[in-house]
Amino acid sequence: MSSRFNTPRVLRRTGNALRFLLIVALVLLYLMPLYWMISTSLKLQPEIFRMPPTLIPETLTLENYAAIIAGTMASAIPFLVYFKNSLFVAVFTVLATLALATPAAYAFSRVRFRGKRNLIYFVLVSQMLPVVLILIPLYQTFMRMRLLSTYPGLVLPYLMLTLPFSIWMLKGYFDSIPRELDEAARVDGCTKGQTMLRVILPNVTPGLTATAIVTFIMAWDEFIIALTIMDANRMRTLPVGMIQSFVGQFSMKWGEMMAASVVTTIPVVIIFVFLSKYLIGGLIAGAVKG
Amino acid sequence: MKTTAAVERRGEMSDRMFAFLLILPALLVIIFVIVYPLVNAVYTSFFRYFLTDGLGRQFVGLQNYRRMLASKEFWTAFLNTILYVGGTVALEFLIALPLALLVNSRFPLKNLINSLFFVPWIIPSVVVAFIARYLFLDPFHGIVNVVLQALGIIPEFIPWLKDPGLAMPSVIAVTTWKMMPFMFVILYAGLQAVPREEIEAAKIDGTTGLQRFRYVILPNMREIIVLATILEFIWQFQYLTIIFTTTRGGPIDRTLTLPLLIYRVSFMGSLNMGYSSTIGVFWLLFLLGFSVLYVRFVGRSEG
Repeated sequence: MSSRFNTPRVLRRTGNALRFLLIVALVLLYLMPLYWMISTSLKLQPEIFRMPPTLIPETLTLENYAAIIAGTMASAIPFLVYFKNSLFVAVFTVLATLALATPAAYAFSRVRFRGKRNLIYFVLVSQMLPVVLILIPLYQTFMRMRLLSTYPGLVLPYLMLTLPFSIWMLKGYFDSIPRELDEAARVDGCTKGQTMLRVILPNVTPGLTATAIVTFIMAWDEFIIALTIMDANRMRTLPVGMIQSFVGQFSMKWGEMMAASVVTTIPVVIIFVFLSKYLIGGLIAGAVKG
Repeated sequence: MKTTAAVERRGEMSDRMFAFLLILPALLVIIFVIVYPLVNAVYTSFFRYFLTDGLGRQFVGLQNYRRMLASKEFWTAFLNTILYVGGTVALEFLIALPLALLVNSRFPLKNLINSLFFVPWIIPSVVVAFIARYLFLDPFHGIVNVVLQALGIIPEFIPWLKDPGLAMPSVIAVTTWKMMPFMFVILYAGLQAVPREEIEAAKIDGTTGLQRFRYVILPNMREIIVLATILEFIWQFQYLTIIFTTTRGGPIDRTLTLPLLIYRVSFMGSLNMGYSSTIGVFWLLFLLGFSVLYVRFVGRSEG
């Protein structure tokens, strides 16, 4: 900071303080909708409709949460069923994605074979194909195979969203492990499989974590495929269940809608609180190294 | 004594076989969920094929394509898509870049605050849509209207998402709110990669902050800016959840985008699979142009 000798110290201090205040004001403004969601979910109907609105709930209540857990008017399905479906689908998607993408990414990073470059481009381009276009023939196939309204029927198409991205991201992590490690393992007598599983794989756990988080968030968020594949009400995931439960009703049940929103958001926020470092690092690695 | 890793051991499988075994499972799934449906859709686009009439496929050549190119609805959806995706990506960039510059300094709780800026990206789209409906739409309690009215900016309640002129800007604003953090994170990472010496040297030369931005920071970040905007453009071309769950393409098709149109044609009403596949093929060709751009760019930076 020696180059700033010409700026008086006091001025610089004031400047830094103002900048800090601006940053704090911006982040509060940016997250305001989320605060409003939480605060509304804790209010009773009369207070939600009171003018001017109260910034902090006067009487905190969990009534809205109790109502959605019991099932709403438009859909008698308890909200927790949707929650369970979403959790199943997201967890299976994460496991299947890691199981399939990790070996493929390893091969792309480490093994020499013909046609590798074209195959990598193919994986890259495949994430640009229109999902809705693929959904039409997939729907017909799944109808014949009786996969509609089943967990595998939803996890399979989710892989078309998650696999290309995950292979790409993991390849970046494998690439960053020095080759000398492979060579040392080979000299020590490891087979190709052992080198991969025992030597290289433990070094990419941050990459595996990042991939798992992105995959979970994608599966948790997905709407249009779930709407199409999960015909039966009991099998619906949270996003579709929320729309079915609330939209089209005459009354605006903001309290219950916001409670449902909070419940739907909690799992991803928990993951974020503990693992945001891996997530953000992974996204940067995936986009930049790519 | 073996000294190099490349040496094949007796009885061990070849590199080719090893790679094949590693890639095969992922490849099979990709063929099943991407390649096969894709080929099927391209094929179907040359046929008259309604799921509702039980007549099966009848070859009609380019008829679906002629219908598409003559369709006002299709061109509306195409232009809306460009407007929606272009508007969102541009707005994201215009917010993310100054923000990245602003937080690229030392201040208390920096890591926490930077993470907080990322939070909207993880919020599920349907939740974002619910919040948007609540903030924008409720005639008496939507906080956007309440605040703007209290400040005297608008004389009376505006039904943002139902107003033909305001629906598109509103969904762009909502989508930007959710998607901006990705752009922010990538640009911030790019900013860290700008060589410090160049900035310091420019400071010693007595440049203003604006000059340093224009002549040092921006040229160094050119590649990452191109990369981030193309990536966002391609991803958001697919993205329809927020529109689907707030305006449903309305009012009067003002927010109708291509994914929504394909969904509407193939899953609602007549289930016209031939025609919806045709729109999908057009989109594919359009995005492929973009992909070529992207792949070329990536190929170049990979060396």
